[in-house]
Amino acid sequence: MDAEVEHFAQFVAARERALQRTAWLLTGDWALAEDLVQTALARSWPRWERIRRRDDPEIYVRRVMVNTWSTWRRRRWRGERASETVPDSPAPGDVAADLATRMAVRSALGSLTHRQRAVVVLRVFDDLPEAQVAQVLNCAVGTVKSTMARSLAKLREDPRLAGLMEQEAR
Amino acid sequence: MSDTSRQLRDLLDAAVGDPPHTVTVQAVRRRVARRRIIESVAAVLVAVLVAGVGVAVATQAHGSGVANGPRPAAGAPRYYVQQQFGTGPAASTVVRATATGKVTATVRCQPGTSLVQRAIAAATRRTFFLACQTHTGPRGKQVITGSRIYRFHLTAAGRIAGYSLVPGGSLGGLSAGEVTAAANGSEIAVGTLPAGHVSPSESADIMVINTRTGARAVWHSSPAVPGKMALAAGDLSLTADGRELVYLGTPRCIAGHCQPTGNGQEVRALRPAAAGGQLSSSRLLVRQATLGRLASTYLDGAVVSADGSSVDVLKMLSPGQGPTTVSVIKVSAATGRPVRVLYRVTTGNGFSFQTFSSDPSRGYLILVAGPPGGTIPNGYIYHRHLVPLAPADGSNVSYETW
Repeated sequence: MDAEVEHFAQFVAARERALQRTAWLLTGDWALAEDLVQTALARSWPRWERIRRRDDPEIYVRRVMVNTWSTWRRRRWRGERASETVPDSPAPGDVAADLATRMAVRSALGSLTHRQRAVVVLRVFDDLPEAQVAQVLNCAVGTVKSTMARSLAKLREDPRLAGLMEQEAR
Repeated sequence: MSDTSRQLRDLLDAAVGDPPHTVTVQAVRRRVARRRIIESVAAVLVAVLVAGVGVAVATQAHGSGVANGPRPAAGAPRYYVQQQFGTGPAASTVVRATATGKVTATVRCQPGTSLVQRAIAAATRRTFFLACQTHTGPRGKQVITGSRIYRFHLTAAGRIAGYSLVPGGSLGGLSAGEVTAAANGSEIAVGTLPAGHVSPSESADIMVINTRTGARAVWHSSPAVPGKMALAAGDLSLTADGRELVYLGTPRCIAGHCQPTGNGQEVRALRPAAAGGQLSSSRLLVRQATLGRLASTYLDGAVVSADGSSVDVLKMLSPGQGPTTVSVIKVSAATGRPVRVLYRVTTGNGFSFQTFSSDPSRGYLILVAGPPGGTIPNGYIYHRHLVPLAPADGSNVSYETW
């Protein structure tokens, strides 16, 4: 049991930031992202030994995270949200440019369906192979491919995102 | 990975930035603990719910019988009227609280008149109609000269208020029998015989009275034919709107010597009730033979539902040897076939039957029936059980309604 506790602690310490970043791309909100990661880890922890034995823990946690997010999308209040910190706090660097990028990405991702958004985040941002994305989303690899193609086509149509991508290319 | 994907990844990477907080194992553990507490509470709630449903199902599945367990149904009327056998004060008609059996009022007729047994009926749960007879002559040799139909209301405390003569309710020269009322109180039906009749040589007519206008209509029984059985109408009941009048017809030899006919009872309907005419023109709803072919089957009561779609029939199956079964059966008015058994009890060798009636909604049926001699359960039918009414012993009850 102690070994499990130790392994879980190591996993959380090593992966929580990556998981939170994925969660932000799914939710578009840091508070929600943190909540989502905590929930996914809390759901995974009671089965940690089995997850370690049978599964890749990272894939399992991400699957729980995506499923939980899908459930939240169906159930949660999506209007105004209370927050203990003011969202537009000062930040170092080119604040205006960062904010423009963030808003453009959030808006572009928001135009996708929840499955398209999950595929883009897992495949592009987390760089998971198609087979693993299919495993996380519990669908066929072919579905991941077609969803990915449709998602990219849709994102390319977004003028603000297209402009930013051109800048990145340069 | 394509160029587009690579550009998009860089863009996503730039947009995400760094999380403002760190997710710690401690935070995750706190959440796990909270989840476990919530799950435990939910499990307890589910267990309580399942146990409750289980008990309810077990109670239902246990079948009918006199139940000590069931509590009074929430929707049952708060008061009921009880008439008792006996003479003097013992023969009083009282209003009792359903929950406690406490007498809240005594129902009396005007001085010089007497209340007719079974001639009291409820409408709207708080409004009751009753028949009082006028008579002349010394005590013990009184001759009935006529009847009057009165109406009264019950207050929230079960007291009597607004006692008044019903328009059209002064029935000179007629002896009123049982009374029934529509749930909206617009119409009542009264069984009538000529004053001074000698029962059972005549069969009762049924008078329908509009309680607002006083208009009357009479349904005449068939003229007596010597040697021929005729259906005597009893157990009157009206649908909620007063449009349909239902009665239980029992073959009776009115004159001469008749050949007995087995299982000839019928539940019949008159529509529109306010039209009047001949009872023989009524529509057949239920045949006794449909509910039991044995000669020992007898129908002791019938009440039409509020909408007229069904009739609740009280059936006694009392073979010479073996236990008697008392059943209350819901019968479809459209097909005349049984729909379901509302209540069934075996009373042993023989039975005592006192009364069977319903509240205006027809949702709560009072039944006082049981084994012969000793205590006769007094209660009402609710979910296939007899919920006891107080007082629990109905052996001195001649009639009850609510």
